[in-house]
Amino acid sequence: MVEVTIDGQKIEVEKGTTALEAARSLGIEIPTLCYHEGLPPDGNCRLCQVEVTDARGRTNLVISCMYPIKGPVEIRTDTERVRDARAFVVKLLLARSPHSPVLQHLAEEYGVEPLDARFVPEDETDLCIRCGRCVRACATLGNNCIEFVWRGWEKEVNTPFKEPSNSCIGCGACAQVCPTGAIRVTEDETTRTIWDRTFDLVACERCGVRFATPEQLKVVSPEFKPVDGRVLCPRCRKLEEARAVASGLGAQEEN
Amino acid sequence: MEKTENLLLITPERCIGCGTCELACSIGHVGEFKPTVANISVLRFEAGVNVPMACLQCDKPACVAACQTGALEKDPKTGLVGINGAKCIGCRMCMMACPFGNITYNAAAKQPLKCDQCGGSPMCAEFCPANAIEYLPADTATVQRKKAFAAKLASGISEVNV
Ligand code: SF4
Ligand code: SF4
Ligand code: SF4
Ligand code: FES
Repeated sequence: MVEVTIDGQKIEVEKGTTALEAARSLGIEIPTLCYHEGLPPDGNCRLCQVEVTDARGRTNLVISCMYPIKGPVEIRTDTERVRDARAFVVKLLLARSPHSPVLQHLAEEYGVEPLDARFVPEDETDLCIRCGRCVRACATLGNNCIEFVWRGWEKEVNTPFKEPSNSCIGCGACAQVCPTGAIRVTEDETTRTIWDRTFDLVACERCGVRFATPEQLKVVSPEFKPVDGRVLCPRCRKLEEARAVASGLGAQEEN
Repeated sequence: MEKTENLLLITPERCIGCGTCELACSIGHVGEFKPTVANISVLRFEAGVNVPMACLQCDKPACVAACQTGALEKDPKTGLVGINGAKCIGCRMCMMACPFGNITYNAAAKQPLKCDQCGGSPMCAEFCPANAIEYLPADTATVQRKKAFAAKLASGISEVNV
């Protein structure tokens, strides 16, 4: 255990705890974009920067989501230098995705002037901030369908060669973890479309509701078990299980 | 199951189908009387047979096996299958995996939903007027009764290890 000071408050943490985790355990909020508790940290957005002073008195800006605490340091999360660093990050990101509400909100908080209208392409509709959460979510699931492609200004997330991905299971996790809503999932009665691939949805063999893609059900086996050989949606599974109990108690059929 | 200090025991024979447990659960979790979002549901059959269904806190939980981020974990001390919502990435595999349909996903909140035994004082058990839901010390007799309930489920106890 190491004792650290964060914004004047002392706390003991396990060695290796990140500055971000330590601060959050004290209820101190540090803004983040690319960080997600369920995903490996990547440290690419740099929004979560804080100031750390080590035992020898040297002070540095560090990326708090990637900074493991190893000794008794002092961490400051809201100094002028920190705010300036974050404002700079927001400014750069805003130049790339001026219409992203998350960024507009941060710009307001950090006093970043909206970009000069001359520099905002009129047709700029890109909401993606290149945080890579979607890429890491898909990789965590073992599907690896999406990657950063191109470089510099052109850098974006897409499937290889922008073609519908064969390994995609249509789960939508990439869209769920996206902090800006940049990834679109559309669904109609019988299909779901994501990353230009359209999946037929499997119908529950009891109530007919379309509840999953065949690829999702394949991945979730062996956990997923058809009930008496029938593929059932979660609701009907519950009903069938209850019916099995009920029939043991003398009920023949459901009302 | 043995490690749980207390466990939620359902005795469908006693259930009168009043749905109080669903109301108690939803008021406890979302502050509203809304059976559709409750983590317990009462399934009603003919001949006055009613079966309340809620997470069984399985010994080998399918939902935990399906979750790749650690958002669902079985607590070895309490035996509860707990949710850490901040770790959830919304893949919904847990929902597909549960053999009993006992876990749902709230897309608006980006969170899975299941019975958490109200953190130690289950509202459903407290308000059930017929003692069909009880929260009892996990002694041998209670564990036996719970296993008997699980054995009646169609999936069978051997496969799912409740
Ligand atoms: S929807 Fe496809 S691309 Fe997105 S996380 Fe799931 S498998 Fe990956
Ligand atoms: S598999 Fe279903 S019943 Fe078993 S612990 Fe998970 S949610 Fe509960
Ligand atoms: S939806 Fe969330 S809790 Fe469920 S399996 Fe996916 S990451 Fe885990
Ligand atoms: S949240 Fe730490 S670098 Fe993005």
